[in-house]
Amino acid sequence: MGNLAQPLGLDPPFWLALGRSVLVGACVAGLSLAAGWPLGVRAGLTDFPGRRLLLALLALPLLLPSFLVAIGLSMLWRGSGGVAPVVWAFAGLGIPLVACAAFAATLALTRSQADAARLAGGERHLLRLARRSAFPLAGLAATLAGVLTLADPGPGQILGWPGAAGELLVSFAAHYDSALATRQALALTAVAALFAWPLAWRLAPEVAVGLFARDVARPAMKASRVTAGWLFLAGGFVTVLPLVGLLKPLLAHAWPVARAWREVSRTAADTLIYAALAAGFAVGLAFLLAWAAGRSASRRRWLVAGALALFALPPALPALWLIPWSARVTVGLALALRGLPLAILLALRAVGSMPPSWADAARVHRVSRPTFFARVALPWCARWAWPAAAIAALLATAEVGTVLLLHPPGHGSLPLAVFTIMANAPEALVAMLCLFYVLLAAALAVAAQRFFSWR
Amino acid sequence: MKALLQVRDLAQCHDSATVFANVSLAVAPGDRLAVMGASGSGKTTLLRLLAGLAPPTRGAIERAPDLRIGMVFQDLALWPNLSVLDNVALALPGLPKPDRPRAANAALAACHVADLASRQPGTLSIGQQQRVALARAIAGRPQLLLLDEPFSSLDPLLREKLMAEVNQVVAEIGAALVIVTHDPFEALALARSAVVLEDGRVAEAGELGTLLANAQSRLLRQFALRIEQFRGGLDKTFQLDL
Amino acid sequence: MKRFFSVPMAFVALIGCKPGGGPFNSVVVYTSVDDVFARPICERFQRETGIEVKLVPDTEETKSTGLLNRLLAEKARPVADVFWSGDPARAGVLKARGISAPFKPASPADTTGRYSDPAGHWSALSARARVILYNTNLVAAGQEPRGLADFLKPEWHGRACLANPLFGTTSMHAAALFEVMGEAKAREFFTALKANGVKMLSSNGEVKRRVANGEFAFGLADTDDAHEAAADKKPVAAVYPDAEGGGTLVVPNAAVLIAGAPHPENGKRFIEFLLSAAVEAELAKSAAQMPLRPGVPVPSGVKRVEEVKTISVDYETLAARLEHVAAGFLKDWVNQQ
Repeated sequence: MGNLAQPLGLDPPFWLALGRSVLVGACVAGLSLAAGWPLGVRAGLTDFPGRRLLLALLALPLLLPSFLVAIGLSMLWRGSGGVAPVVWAFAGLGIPLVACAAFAATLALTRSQADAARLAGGERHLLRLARRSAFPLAGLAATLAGVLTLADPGPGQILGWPGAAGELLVSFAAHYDSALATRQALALTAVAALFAWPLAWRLAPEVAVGLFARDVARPAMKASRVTAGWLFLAGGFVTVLPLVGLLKPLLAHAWPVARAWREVSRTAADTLIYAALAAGFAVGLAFLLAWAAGRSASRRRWLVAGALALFALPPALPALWLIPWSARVTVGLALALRGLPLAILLALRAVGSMPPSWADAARVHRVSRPTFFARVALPWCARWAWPAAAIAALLATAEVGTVLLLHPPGHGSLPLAVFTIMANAPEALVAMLCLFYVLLAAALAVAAQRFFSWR
Repeated sequence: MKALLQVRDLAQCHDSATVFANVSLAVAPGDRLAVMGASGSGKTTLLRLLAGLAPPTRGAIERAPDLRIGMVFQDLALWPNLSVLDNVALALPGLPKPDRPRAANAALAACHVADLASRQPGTLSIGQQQRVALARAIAGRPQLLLLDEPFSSLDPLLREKLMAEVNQVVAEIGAALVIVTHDPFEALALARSAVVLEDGRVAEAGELGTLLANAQSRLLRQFALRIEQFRGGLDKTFQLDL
Repeated sequence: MKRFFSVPMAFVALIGCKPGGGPFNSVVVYTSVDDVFARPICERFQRETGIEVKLVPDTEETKSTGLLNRLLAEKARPVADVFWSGDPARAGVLKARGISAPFKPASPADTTGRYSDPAGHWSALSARARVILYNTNLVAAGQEPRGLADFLKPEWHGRACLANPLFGTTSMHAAALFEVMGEAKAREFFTALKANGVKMLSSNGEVKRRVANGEFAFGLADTDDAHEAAADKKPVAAVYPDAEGGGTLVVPNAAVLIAGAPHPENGKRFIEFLLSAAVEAELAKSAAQMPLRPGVPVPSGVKRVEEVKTISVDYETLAARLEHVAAGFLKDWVNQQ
């Protein structure tokens, strides 16, 4: 009986908290899909002034640690707890994630496909087709967003809806019981896998459907001003509002620019190094795995399901195991786990979009495997690797717990500085640091966009 | 002369369904063979087996030692991130590196696309892409050239022109040719003999003119019938030299 | 192609230089004291001695997994020389787990020895106090809460808050209440808190913020929270609770030398510096902390520890008490929130 009441030796409050987490995860996944999917498709399909700005707006919440979004929201609304504000805080991350995925999937639509859809049923039909073809990637991104919430205690703690990740935190930080925390983490991962598995099974093969068209020019749809206005409103709602809450203190105080700049200059180099290392490890590993999975549908399914489960694993757990090897490289390695699941999805997409005839052509003409890999496969995948690296870097940068546990003394990151300073620093300083952080990340994103000419 | 390629009792199965069985053929230097059949008859599969891109389920394929093969794929399989010149030069691993651009340029010139050397494949017209793919296939001076329905998406005039060019180039390098096609016109223009795959087996094989004069397979009978119609309808003013 | 490889290669070159280790003449300090207060002190030590301080700060704000876990995991291969704890309870945990080394400073700040470990595993310095922070717009003059009993009064039903008692100074406060009241009465008190709608928030910072913006009339926080809110010109004031009754809990900082520290001599020097009058004076100024050493000047508005009626607890046993209640009653209490 005792075993029935306490499976895995975990007490009923943990399972209750897990139930709360699952509810949040499901709501976030649903909301992100409902809002992000059409948003991304619209942004990918239509041309309107300020389209790039909208995309930048959408990318912005991806740059922010979730606890900052939660604090921003809690500064705007006097919440009384409950599930809604937590879902809102997480949706601030989930909606852009899904929108970006849907956007990328829509760009893969060929002009001839678009024309065929137009002929069949006009613009409306084209939109339907675009939604349909973007669904696998958008659906998986929504699932990832849902799973991501399971491992993140921040918003739940701040907004008064503690979940299973909060329980884990208590085991670590109040009881110093890493064995219990590990058991709880495994339970969390198992539940995530349980929910994510069927979806992964269904969608994984479609994610890697190849692109064979030679004419992949973007099918442009004209958007009316009203549509564009709505898109901006929707984009702004999820991204700008939490930021407004965060930056509000700057309205009432003098800007402590010099003090904040000192923190930024102290941490900027290490922040970039961690981000680059994490992105490098994540993308490298993701592409290795995607290559290994190749065109086998079953191996792809396992890979996607594994990626989802990995997302549910609280990042502090592997970090704890790595503490004896504390170094900058270790930080990068542990942070890479954060971006790995998304990198895997993009890598699968990249590898899947290479027609097998390319490798055949190399084989027939006796081009060696390494040469083909270096000259053709790698540069082709690089088109996907850079966005994957950017996302991995951003997710890694937003992760604070891992850096706290693993960084060599004197080599903290900027989010860690924000995180440690915010407890008792003047509000304006925290707001100023957040502003610097957002500006730095946005500048990097813009530079990357220019440099690698994302489409 | 010894055969470049000797195929005996070849069979290929897909998920326990047999694509074809009991296929035997030989390709000697200078041969021009068309592998014909309706869509789904296993033509491309056979060609891939000949190229060594997949192992057969049963049977044996003997290739001459160090047989050099060039191939034009149905989707052309040009590598989109490389320039036209690099596409061709990369397919010349047998040459020392400094010699590759010269050989690649020569192949491009033979296919009348030397002026496109610095372009990316994605910026070319479909006809230009076909020529680049052909240039890549012949650049290594192959003894055996394999063509997988390379002209199926072209208009008749361009197709005629390209087929003439292929004939010329193949004659220049002295390669044997195996072309996969469902179109008897293509077969007539490029090949001298044919193997017709139908219902998972070789329906007929032999010299093309003989086959057409006494067609056994549905594909060739249909073609012969259509030719007769033309002859009648056009009051015998349209003569086909069979 | 070249571009594809050149960027990663540049990063490899950039991080190729060894990050750890650092110059020989350095000291690695882990601290749970807020970065804004700890860093200027470390920079001053560096200026005065030429020894580089590598500071690894922690915070109770989001509590991730905490530096304490890092110290526990690094037990076999210590990286830190000194743990500058914001409270003695965590120092007690380190002592219990064999992470700290005994060290008797030449000139302790805690001259009475009341707040320090008798065996020398931690030395106390400047203290915070647990105070009741109230919103001056919501609480009329003369109606201010005076002690913990006010949290149970029906007129404040649903209008008071405290931080999660499993973490930070609130956890130490809870342990002290269990120590002073006894197990049964303390349980009764916490149960009554819940019955009166006292809201549990994630941290003291949250308590400060939400009292300041008027969501709650008052809450339990630390003196530095009160000081910071006042500096931000928020409508708040602080009460040292139970001046007539059981007294206020004083939470001193604790300096801990790590066993097997890589730079033990620099670590000892840093601890001696922390305990100096100059540092206590600076902490009084920057963080409104009460100096323990007699005669250290304090700015107006900052009390001296001898002016406060303090709860009498044995700081040495608090850590063990904390682990006991945190795993039992308090965990359930938190879960029922």
